[in-house]
Amino acid sequence: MTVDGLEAAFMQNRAPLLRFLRARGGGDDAEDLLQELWLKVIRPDSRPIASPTAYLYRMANNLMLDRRRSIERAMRRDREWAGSDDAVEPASAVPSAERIVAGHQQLGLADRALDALGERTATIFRRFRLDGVGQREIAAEQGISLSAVEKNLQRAYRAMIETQRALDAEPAAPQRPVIEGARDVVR
Amino acid sequence: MSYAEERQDAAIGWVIRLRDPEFAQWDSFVEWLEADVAHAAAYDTVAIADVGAAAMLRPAARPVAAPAFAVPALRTTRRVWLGWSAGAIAAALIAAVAVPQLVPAQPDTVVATAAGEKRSIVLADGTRVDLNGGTRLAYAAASPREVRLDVGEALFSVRHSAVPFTVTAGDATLRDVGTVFNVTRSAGRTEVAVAEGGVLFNPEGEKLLVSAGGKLVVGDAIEVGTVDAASVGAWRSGRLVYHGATVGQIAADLSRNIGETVVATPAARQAVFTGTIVIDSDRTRLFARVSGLLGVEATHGAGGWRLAPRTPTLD
Repeated sequence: MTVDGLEAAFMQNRAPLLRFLRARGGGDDAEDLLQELWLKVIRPDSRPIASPTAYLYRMANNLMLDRRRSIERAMRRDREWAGSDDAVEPASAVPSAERIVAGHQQLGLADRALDALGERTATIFRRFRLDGVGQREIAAEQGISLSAVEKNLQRAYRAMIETQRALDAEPAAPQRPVIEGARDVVR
Repeated sequence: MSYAEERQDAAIGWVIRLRDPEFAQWDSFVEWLEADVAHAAAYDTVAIADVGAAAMLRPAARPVAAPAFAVPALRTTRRVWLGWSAGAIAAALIAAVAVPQLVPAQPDTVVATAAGEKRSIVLADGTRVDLNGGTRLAYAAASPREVRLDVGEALFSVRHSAVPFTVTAGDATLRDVGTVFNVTRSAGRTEVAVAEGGVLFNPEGEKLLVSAGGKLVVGDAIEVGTVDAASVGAWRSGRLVYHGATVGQIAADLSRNIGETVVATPAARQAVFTGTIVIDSDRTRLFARVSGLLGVEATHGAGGWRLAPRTPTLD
């Protein structure tokens, strides 16, 4: 199926996709979001797709997730600036998301939280999430049932959610304020 | 189990199911989302943590197994799997790149200059380092592109190579992406001034690029400023160039350059100065000059030189 096929699939699925975007929390913005999705669909670099409907839902889901993440980043930035005493502007050209990622990894909180659940759970989660192995194959590897794999993944995800919560609650990494425009500086 | 916990577990179930690129139960997913307005938010929380998990966890050391679902003919299906979101890819790539190499080089060569002594050395890679007085530099023969500045001041003229040149000064890591920069380290404070090219400060952390004519002062805060590129490292020719430097800093610089302790009294320390001090080998002449330029009284005793505020006749 070609790009035209994807466009046709979009047209046919316009109503269900709009419904999906609303259900995902799009609310009044759902029409605009559908438009955004459309712009992504008609981009020239689209390649042949086996299942266009599923692909469209996947794109719509990612769109909503990106939107949520932008909102949270903006909220976090507002909280930090509201909390700081000086009106300090970050001088770094690196977007804060990257800084945050690097900081989190260095803290090792996620690894410790995962390892605290035991070797089996930690291994199963890493195989699933980092190595991209499917649940059935993991069940075969571990010699356990599919539902056991699911239980382990549930536990691991709960720990990751907690870690994310803990990391979001404080400043991303020990960050010092960056002050621009100084010459020889007085301390 | 509380209702919130049940909801979260259900959301986890959906995140897990959606990770399968063959997932096609979108109508069931919509039904679940529509069943309760809180479901969408619950899903977002778990999905964000799922994206975050890949970024927060250290990448596995062993080679990654080929994903079980990879179907070579359907390239875009695979793309859908990897394309969880552009943000996730960026985060995953950064996670792969930013793995901190925490194995410290064991320095086995230390170069130290006495107070007031200047020395130039050339490292194994051809990088030239000019050391000011009271400076201690360390590096390992095994890693010639990694240098540690314990204290003092050094001007680095880095030989260009595929391997980046790194200077560690306290908790500041400076990665050279160009050629000429000056580093000063004293208690709790590191200063970097770049003459040519650029230096990346803390590549694993703040990641600030300081280019030619730029300056960074690292202490409790990180202060970014400008400097006259031509005057970077001017101490080598006995010139100390200042723009709004405090008398306290100047006293420390003088100590380093002349090899004799120079201290500013607390009352004199905070005054600022803009101008150039030319180091005169005749100390009396030098301090007469310092006195005039800085508006201080310079007295010499057994412990060295003391800079104090001028006894005021008018204040």
